[in-house]
Amino acid sequence: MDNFDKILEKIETQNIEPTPRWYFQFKNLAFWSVFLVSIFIGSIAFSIILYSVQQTDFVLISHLKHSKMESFLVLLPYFWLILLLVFSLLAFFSFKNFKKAYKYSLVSILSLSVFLSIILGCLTFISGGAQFLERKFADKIEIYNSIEEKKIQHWMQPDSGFLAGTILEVKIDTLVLEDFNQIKWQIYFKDVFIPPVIEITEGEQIKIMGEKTKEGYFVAREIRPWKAFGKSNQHGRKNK
Amino acid sequence: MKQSHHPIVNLKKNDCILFTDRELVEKSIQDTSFFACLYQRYENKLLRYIHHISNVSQEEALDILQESFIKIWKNLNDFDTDLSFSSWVYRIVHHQTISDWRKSVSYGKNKTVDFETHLMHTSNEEYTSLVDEKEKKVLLLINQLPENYKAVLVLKYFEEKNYEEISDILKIPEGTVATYLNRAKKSFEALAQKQQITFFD
Repeated sequence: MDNFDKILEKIETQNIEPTPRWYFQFKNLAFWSVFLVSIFIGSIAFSIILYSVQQTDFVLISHLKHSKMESFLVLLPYFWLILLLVFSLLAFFSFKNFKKAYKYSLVSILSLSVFLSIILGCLTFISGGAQFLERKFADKIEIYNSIEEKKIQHWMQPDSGFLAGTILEVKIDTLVLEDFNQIKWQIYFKDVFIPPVIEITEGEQIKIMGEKTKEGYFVAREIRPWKAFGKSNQHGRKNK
Repeated sequence: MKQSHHPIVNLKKNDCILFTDRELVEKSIQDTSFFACLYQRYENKLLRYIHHISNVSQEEALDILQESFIKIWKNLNDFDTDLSFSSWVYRIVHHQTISDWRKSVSYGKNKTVDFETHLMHTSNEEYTSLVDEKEKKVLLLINQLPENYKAVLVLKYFEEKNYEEISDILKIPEGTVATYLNRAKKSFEALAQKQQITFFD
């Protein structure tokens, strides 16, 4: 009995049939789907990380009482960083299962997964999708602390020198501010740094670094817009 | 469509040469006679390859080939036509050989024999007759190299595969094939020097 007869005998006795084509097609489709979904979720995570970085005042670090490293670590958007990492790895592993994946080095595959997430993430961020998705996420998931909520928590510490809210009235050297807890404050802001991007007018939302002198009174040292990046001192102007 | 499970029933043995590998793959799904053609076409090459990358006996090599062809049969519908059939079968046989080899080592069965003894006493006359003295020396050295180096050297110099084919068989990028080949040659030369083996009289 030659070797091929033995093979045929085994095929017959064990009733071995070729695996149907649809099974392989389905498997390929599944890997492609996992890859594309992973890239998509990774890009959303990256766009929200960008949004988070934009909204987070890393300048706060130098003013906080904790160590700089500790404060920096507190401000990082861990949930989205972990999500980006997990889905980049998932994209990487699903890509590795593609028929031709072996033609590419591991570094190229990993770079491609991360690169696609970054490009799509930037596009989502620029189009305003990140803010929208982040808010939707915060609305739907109770335990999730939105970036906006975290930001409010950071800036609603008047005893530590941080205050934020909406301008109700502007006088020569003072203004009336209603904070996010609807408490009114008299803000003294003579010789204070104000970036050119904000107008000290009624209805403007601002954040202030300074000192609480007594209940309802706050001396500003620096004023920044609530919604955009703060600018450095040399680009600002002084209120005299 | 039900296939005939008898070899060369619908096909005369010499008719195999009329078909390309791809045609035989397509027809094999309907009729195992065509599958027998594929087996005949690759049997000797693949047996030689199994011997070159492992120390298995002829009997074990035939078992590996059997298992490989059952896998090929099961996966006929997954054959990627962008790939040559030759590369695809070499890939399956390579993995089967390495997997069986590792199992035999990890289970401590150690059914394998010393490579030199294997070359001297193997019952496969057809195979040993092909292995001349110089080739024996080369194989002895190659067999002492790490798995990846051994595979690229055998595929390049014994099976005469190009970089793309080696890349397809071992499922590694062509750049890695070049790197392995370069390192394998250096290791081979160092071993030959260390063991004072020369290839020229």
